[in-house]
Amino acid sequence: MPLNFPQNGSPATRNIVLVALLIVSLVLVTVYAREGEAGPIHSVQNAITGGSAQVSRVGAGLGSATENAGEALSDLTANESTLSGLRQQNQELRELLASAEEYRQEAERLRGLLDMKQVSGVSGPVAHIIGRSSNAWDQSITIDLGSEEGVESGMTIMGATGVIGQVSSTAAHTSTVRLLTDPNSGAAVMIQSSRENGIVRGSINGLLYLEDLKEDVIPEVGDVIVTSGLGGSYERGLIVGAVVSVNKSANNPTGSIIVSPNDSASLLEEVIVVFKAPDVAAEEAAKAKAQAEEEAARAQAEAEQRSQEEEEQSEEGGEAA
Amino acid sequence: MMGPDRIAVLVGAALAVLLQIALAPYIAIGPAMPNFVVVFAILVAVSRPHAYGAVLPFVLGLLFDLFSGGPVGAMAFVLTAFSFLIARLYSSLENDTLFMPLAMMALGLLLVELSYGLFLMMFGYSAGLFEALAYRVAPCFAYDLVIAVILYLFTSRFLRQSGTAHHNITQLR
Repeated sequence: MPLNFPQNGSPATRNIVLVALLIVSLVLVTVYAREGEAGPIHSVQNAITGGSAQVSRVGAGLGSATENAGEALSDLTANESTLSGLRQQNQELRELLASAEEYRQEAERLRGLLDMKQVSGVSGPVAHIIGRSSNAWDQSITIDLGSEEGVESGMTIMGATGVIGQVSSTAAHTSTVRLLTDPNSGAAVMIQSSRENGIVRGSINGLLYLEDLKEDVIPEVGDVIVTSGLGGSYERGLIVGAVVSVNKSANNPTGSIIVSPNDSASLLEEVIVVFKAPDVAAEEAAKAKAQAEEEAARAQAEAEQRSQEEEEQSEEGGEAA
Repeated sequence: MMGPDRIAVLVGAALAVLLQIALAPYIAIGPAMPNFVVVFAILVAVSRPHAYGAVLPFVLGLLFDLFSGGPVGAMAFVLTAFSFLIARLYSSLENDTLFMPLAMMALGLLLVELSYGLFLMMFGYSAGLFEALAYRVAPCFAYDLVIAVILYLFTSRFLRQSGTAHHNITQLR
């Protein structure tokens, strides 16, 4: 089909093409909205998003490419004699130094993630961020692990210091992660100190709001927010951030509570895909069981001691009689 | 056979898609991210108003929907409808000044950004209208407009159709 650029067809034909394409667009939007994540349009979109992320990776190196091009241009204008061996050596050394620095930084970041895994007890692979959303309305990133590596929709994604989002769709070797700051994101959380449940929601202005708390619950600035695991959307017990602003009060029960996330995806290059979080509920149950056993043992010891004392008293009474 | 003007449009379209994927996320300023695909479609609509068809904006919009993760068909609809409208409007209002193409581009970009936002909200995007205007539509429109004006001044000679009234910087004088 020829592109309907210039000179092709009469105005009537062009109008028919226009109307047809508008109808096709509307049909596509309707089907997209009605079909599930596994629908054909979603599948094509996931595959293309994953593929475009590889192109997006090139963009990150665009800066250095521009720099190299500038240098090459200056070399072209220099005399042949100035292109000495020393200069070449210098260039090689600079490249080595740059790549060593790159490795050092990556090692540091990975150490941070490893520490996070050890401290929080989560298990799961480390993924590289290979793309960022090219749509201003969408707060998402693309990572280089997909369904073939065991990543599934709904899995929690963590940075070095806290939760940053959730897998929203997967392709074979890539996944799209919807960030917590996206307006369509929501995570069931609780205030760590009071154990009160609420929901952290992203917003179009980039802030995280803590909502759906009981009316009489007023958190304090600095309160730590962790995922509650309710609804099964996020793994339980993972740190999200801390309360930084509270406008809610007894007189203003609908006031806003702003949470500062511990981690920001814009600063990250690697993330952890949480396959398994520490089983906080099981740990708590085990602790409670151990405590109950300890109390039972103590009570039994006390009872034995009391019965022994009673026996001694009765023996003493018998001797006296 | 494909003429040089058509090749210029196709190369420009491919470049716009590439820039949107590879560059736009890294040059965002706060909430404002440029949309090279929208800028290019509107730029072509204003540069070649008498020859503008609906297939190019449809294909560009559909590609944007597919790689950006938005609802598939939304940008295709908005871009097809408004770039066609701008081309028609400009071809009837053309008055041989530099102001008119720039005004038409501004109108087109604003309509596309605004309508796309409304489309997303209709499909469940959690934001109020005024918030969306303040935090997405206005900043993105401003960024797009700056790029569109720069590109128009530098590329209109490659994109324009022979026989169409041309404008250049000298006409400002």
